[in-house]
Amino acid sequence: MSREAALALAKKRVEIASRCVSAIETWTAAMTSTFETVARIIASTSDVPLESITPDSHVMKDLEVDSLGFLDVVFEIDKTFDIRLPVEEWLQNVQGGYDGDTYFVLRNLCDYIDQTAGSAAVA
Amino acid sequence: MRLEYFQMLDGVERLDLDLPTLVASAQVPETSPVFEGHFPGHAVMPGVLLLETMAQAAGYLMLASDGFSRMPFFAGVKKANFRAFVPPGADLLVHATRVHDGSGYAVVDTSILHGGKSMADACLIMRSVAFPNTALEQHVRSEGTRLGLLKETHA
Repeated sequence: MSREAALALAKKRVEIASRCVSAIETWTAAMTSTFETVARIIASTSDVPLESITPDSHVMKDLEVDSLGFLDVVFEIDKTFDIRLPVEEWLQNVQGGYDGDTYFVLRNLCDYIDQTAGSAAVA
Repeated sequence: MRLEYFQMLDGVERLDLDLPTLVASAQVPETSPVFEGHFPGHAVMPGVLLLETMAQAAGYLMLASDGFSRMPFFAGVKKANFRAFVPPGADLLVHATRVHDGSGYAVVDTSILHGGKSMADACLIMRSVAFPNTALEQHVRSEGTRLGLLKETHA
């Protein structure tokens, strides 16, 4: 490979890496924003202090939000993000033995909200 | 109204499934043991029974919306206001409008009017689940027929 070709290849790699970093930053910013919004919703609809809510918190197991409290949280999320969280299906899946962490750990819940709200915006 | 049986609605006056909204009539009885205690010498409908009346209107709105396929249960009150005394014999109109259709639950704005004046209003959370048994489902369908939401069927 010539020196020019190697230089062009290196530049291309730097460009791709830069785009990846930018995409990750955008995703992280979106996740942070969604997490902050959801954490505020939980804190305002329950007795859970905002500072005790982390992305790894399980809404029911760690934050001890009961089923009615969770309905309040879901209602506020539905309204805020203009989506319809399929909580009934999730609860049925958990009763059937499915791992609830997939739905109720905040990191995963925010990820689902971003995907759903994003696809709704595209549609 | 038959207060002792928690039969709070007398009939459905209007149902619009597009909004969706329901308006039901409810006449407070002239006499009831309830009024003997609430209150002696000053009979008024208890706020909790007005709340139940609004919850039943919300429940029948949900039943009508999903073809009586699931049982709505009164799950929560986001806010409630009791604005005026409701006396025995009052002719009431009970309004219910679904403002949010969630997964397995709904949020319903309700109000009670008497002579065009707002007596009470509440924002209610209703959960809907599969009917726990056929006896309850049959009772609810029978009540739906009495209220005019379902057509009478003969075996």
